[in-house]
Amino acid sequence: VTDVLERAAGQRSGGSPAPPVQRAGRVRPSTPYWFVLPALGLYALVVLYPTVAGAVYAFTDWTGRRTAPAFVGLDNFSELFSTSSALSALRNTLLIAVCTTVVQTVIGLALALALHSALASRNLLRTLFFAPALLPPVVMGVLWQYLLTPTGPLNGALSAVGLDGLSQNWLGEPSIALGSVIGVIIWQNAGLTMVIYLAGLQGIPDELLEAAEIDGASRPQRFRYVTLPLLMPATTIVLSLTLISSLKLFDQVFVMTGGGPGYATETLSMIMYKEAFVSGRYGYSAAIALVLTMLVFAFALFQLRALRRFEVET
Amino acid sequence: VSQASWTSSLPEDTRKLATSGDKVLAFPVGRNAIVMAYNKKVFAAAGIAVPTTWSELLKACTALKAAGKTPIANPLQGGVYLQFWMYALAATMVYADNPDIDADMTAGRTSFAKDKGWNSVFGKYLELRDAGFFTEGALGVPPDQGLQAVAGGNTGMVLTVTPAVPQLTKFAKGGAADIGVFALPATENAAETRIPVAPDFVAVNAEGKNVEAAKGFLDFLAKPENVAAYANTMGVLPGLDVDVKVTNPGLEPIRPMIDGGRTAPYANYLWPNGDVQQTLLQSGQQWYAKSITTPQLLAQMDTEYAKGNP
Repeated sequence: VTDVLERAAGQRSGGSPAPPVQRAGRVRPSTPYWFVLPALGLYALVVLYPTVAGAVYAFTDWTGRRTAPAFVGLDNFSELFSTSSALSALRNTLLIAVCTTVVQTVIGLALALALHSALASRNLLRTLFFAPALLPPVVMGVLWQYLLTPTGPLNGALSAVGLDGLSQNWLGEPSIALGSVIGVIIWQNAGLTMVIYLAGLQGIPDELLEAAEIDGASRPQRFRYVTLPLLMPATTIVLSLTLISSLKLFDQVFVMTGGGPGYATETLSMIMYKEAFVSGRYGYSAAIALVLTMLVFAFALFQLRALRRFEVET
Repeated sequence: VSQASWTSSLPEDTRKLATSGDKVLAFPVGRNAIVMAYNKKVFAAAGIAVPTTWSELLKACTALKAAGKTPIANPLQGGVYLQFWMYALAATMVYADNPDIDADMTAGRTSFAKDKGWNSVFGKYLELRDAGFFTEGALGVPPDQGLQAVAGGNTGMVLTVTPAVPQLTKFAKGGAADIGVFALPATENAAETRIPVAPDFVAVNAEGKNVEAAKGFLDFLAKPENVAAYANTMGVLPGLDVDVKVTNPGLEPIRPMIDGGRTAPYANYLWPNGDVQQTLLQSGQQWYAKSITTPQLLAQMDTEYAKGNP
């Protein structure tokens, strides 16, 4: 993502940043590296060591007690891929990731296109659409939990306009609870996607669109052949951020449904938490964390590589 | 802390939870109970007396329903409130007859699925669900809203834990005067009703630097005046069986049962691991939604129970 941002910044300033000048025959002083050491040490202590230790615990039966954990090989992983509740959490996680990523990107792009105009109220509307992204996820979860109760304001509003038939037990009906959670996440984050796309749209030179117009390109053609390709760096960022955050989703689910009803909205992060802090199975929980990490890594890598092919420069 | 003088004042329901073998391992600072909290005005308007038997409870629910009220708030979002029913019914239907059932279950002599009492517990609960006495859409209702429904007078009663009663009275317009509590009846004999009780413990780290000072602090807490101070400040039941006047009016109606020893521990405190309870909370929601049957739920709980203490 930082790579993409750097390149985007380079584009906007009108070309690639100049390479650092290195004088021939001059030996680089080692002092600067010594200054980096404390930060590097801290990073190793609080990031690298816990990460590696966590990965090691994934192959043990550690229960969080002082007794030394025993090595159990791949047992934790085979349990994860053979337990129906864990597989259901994996399915839910992937479903949330795909739905959230696709729908949120489409809605965010649509909002950005609509508000990248001469509309008088565009700044007010941009603020309104972006505002939910400023709410802490837990606060947002509590609010929506209240809004979505069977006798809550949403059903009340539907009833008030004669749409009683659409009233639902949004978070209590197992078949629709996951959809409700996905809807809430999209509602909160579509504004952020919109802001990223707006930044991308403002970086597209007007002359390119004007030239296409002079060449006789229709509005859909200008969008398809000029705007969309030039928005690909923004799309890469949007897709990566959305995918990663939705794969590790926890807060909203924890607050709104606790993973229920039953196991209907349980995610990998939820079972990771429950296995560690409710059941005391830290080794198994570490295995779930490792699988989740690999999943995020694989998706993010695939996505970045795939999308870069479509990126063009102005 | 086995040698401490206060160990002789441990209530019977608490002794079992505080001991391992012949050793006392912890001090109970206070005890909670599961009670049915009800809106006195709603009951009075519907002409209902406090039910003391199962059939009286069913009649009360029918009368409330006829009066246009939801009889029982059942806020099942998160599953926490589901377990209260099982522990409250099991206190009378399981533990009254066989207080050592968990030893039998651990030894494989019986199980949730095999035991008649446990099957009846889940059957009784379904009786209320199928009669439509619970909150509509219960699985989507958070606990807070369940309490508010009772305090606001739309719903007659809610099965909850005693620490939630002060919150309930705060929600009610008339405060403590509007809310009463009673023990959940499970049979046709009021004298058989037991109330589930669970202590909050304080333990001493045997490897700590100030073990004797810590034990001395427990002795201090065990003085009757301090047991009373803790219980009345926290709004809980006294942790020790000493002569204490409870000032929380919400607890007064159940004091005779507590003092008379008609109690049982919360069932999950006796289970060998946390996954049995977790299964009850989560698979229990599926069961409530009719996605799985009672034998399937009990079989799942048995599977977790059989895994023993981790």
